[in-house]
Amino acid sequence: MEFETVRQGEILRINVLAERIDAACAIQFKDRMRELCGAEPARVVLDLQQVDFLDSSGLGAVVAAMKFLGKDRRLELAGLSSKVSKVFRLTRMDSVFTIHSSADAAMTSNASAA
Amino acid sequence: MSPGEAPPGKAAAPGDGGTSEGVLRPDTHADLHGEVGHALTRVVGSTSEDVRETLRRLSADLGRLGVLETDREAVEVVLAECMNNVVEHAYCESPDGEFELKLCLTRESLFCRVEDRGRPMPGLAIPAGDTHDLSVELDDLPEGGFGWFLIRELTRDLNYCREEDRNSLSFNIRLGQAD
Repeated sequence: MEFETVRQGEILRINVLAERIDAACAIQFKDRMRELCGAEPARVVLDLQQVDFLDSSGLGAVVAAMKFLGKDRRLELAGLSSKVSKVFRLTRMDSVFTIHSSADAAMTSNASAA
Repeated sequence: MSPGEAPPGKAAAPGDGGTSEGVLRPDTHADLHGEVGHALTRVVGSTSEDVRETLRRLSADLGRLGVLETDREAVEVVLAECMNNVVEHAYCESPDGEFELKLCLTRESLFCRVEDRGRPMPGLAIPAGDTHDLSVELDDLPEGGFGWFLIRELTRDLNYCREEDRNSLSFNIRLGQAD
């Protein structure tokens, strides 16, 4: 599972270069996210633009990533496909995450408290 | 019994020597607008990679059959959850199992049946799949249990039965419904 990271000031942008976050790769996703996020910065923007599909295991893995960032750091999401958005919307997890239309929009938005 | 000597009124038993060739019955016949449903059957191996590959192909197949993108999204979400449940719970991640996915497509709906020979569902019942309370502390947010909720949200006529050593889960997904 490939990722691309860009550090921009106090924001870490993680671009997921996989078409799917599903049961076949959820554990790998969690492990890699933990490595990539490290101990800083405070804001992590997960760019899902290339992700076409996410199942409940993938959703659980994204939630797990937010949990291990802890209370003082934030995981924000960007670039959700309509299929991925549907899963967040139906489970109401869209109310838990800050979701941006694109990673660029996320990078220019202020880190307002959720 | 020699070939051609099947008793009157009885077809020759399969597996008899002398059959000219196996009958390859195509599992699709392209008439989406006919009254009769369009049947598709897939045999799936019991790994999450097999599930992934089946979903990819099936979504493309349904697209070719004229199923709209929004409907295919719902179908993919539901079938992913059903098949992953089979892999994880019925076969307990054992990779040498196999299960069947039977679909019947009409203009209004996609009827689905998932049949496996793994362990029965606990209590011989479909898990509740309740909504989660999300107004909790970060550490208490759920990381699982979304699967049955999604299945229940996106399907109708959800039914489970255990017959001998077989699990059978069936449901309908209505097509052409805006969500």
